[in-house]
Amino acid sequence: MKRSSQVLLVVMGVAGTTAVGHYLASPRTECVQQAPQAKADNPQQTPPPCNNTSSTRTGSHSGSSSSNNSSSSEHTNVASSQTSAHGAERGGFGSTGHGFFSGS
Amino acid sequence: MQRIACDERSDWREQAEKAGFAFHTIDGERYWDERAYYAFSLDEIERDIEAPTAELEQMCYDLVDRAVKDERILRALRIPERYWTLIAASWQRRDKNLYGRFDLSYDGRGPAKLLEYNADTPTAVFETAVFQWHWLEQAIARGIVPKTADQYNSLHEQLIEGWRGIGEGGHLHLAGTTSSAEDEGTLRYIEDTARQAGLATTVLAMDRIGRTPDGHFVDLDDKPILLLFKLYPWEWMFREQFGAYLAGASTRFIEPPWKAILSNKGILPLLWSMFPRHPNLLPAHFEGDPEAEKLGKSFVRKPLYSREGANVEMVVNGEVIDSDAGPYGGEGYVRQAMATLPRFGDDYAVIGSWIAAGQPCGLSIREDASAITKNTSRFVPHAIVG
Repeated sequence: MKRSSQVLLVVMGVAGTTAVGHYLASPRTECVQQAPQAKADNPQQTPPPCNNTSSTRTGSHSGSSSSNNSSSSEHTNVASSQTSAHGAERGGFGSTGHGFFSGS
Repeated sequence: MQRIACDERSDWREQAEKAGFAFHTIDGERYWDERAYYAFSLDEIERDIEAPTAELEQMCYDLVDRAVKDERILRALRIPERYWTLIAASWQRRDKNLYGRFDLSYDGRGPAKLLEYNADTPTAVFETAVFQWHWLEQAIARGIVPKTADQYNSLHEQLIEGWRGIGEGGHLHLAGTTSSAEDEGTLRYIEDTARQAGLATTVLAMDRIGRTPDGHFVDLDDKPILLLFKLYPWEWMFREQFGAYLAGASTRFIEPPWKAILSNKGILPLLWSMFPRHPNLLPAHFEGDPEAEKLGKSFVRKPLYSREGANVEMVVNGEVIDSDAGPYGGEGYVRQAMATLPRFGDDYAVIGSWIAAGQPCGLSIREDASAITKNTSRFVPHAIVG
């Protein structure tokens, strides 16, 4: 069979329920080692030992968009930056994305 | 390979919403389209898609290995010189990558031809890995496709496997243009696969990434970003203010900096040069190279950097017969021989062949009335039958 045995979504709040029934709630714990590639250049060649840990921790997210229109020139795009109370400057990424599709 | 008209599930929109697939319809037009599916034989998938994808990936590794040692290549790709060391170091370390999507022209007759490699920020991942799989399960149950139908699709499992190898149970930040419904959906899905691999996760907008006075990237709580999945192209980061601090930061990036070499249509002439007459490649040359004249007056003109078909031009007998507007092209163009895209009725179809954790593992198909695939080109599911 060329397809996944089950597709379960955890974060997106949807169990992979279909007309054929509910799937197990726990994520897969078996680990499949990658077959070594013939050439040494492959970054996937030496995977670490299998990790059987499943996670139920809740992630957090925050998001806001305040991107500027981009320029197609080679000049550096400098968005208006902000500095947090701990001294972190923000806005140095993301200025090109407004109005453009990030994916390909 | 066939295109088979079929019944759509009467509740497919509700199914999409339930699955978190909010962008199934874009600007009132279908994006997800299950009024038909593409049928393949197992032989076509294994021989013509899966195996060539593995070979193309290895060819790309060979290209990266050559590029980091040859400034002429990096210059031809118009990668800013100040990032060459960052990219080379990333490759020397063999920084792990997660995924990519090869776009192929394939009609079931003859070898698939590489159109381009979306190596940095490939999208359509959720609908490929999840919703297309859900469609198959339900289509079998409802008699829409044969009960013995299969699908070339283990992308979900491979993404999880990829994260196990990358994250090792640590904390992953994910960033992108969260104001875009499609980008947000993609981020949430990738987050899901990372969670299932045992990583803790935090999602934030790209412009909310902070930089501390000592040059490290932090999140909104000023916690260090040690591992970052970015749904944001390298070529944009390179020209933004924080690009100057990439080399000194302690952040590992997915996709890694060496992928910047491959997310560039300049790889098309470079691969053709390295592997001339390879059955899965089309002749290609940099515009301005005298060799480009060999393509004659009919070719496809592609910017080095562009997304979703923007600024791509189809030239026939010297005239532009099809194009898509956009802001790209400032860095230059390549010319690629024109491939014959399969056409079914009024629509052209392009194959997306996915690779994750180093393994070819899935297929997506986009249809459009134009031969240039765009952001709005419809996603049509597939099945392996016979």
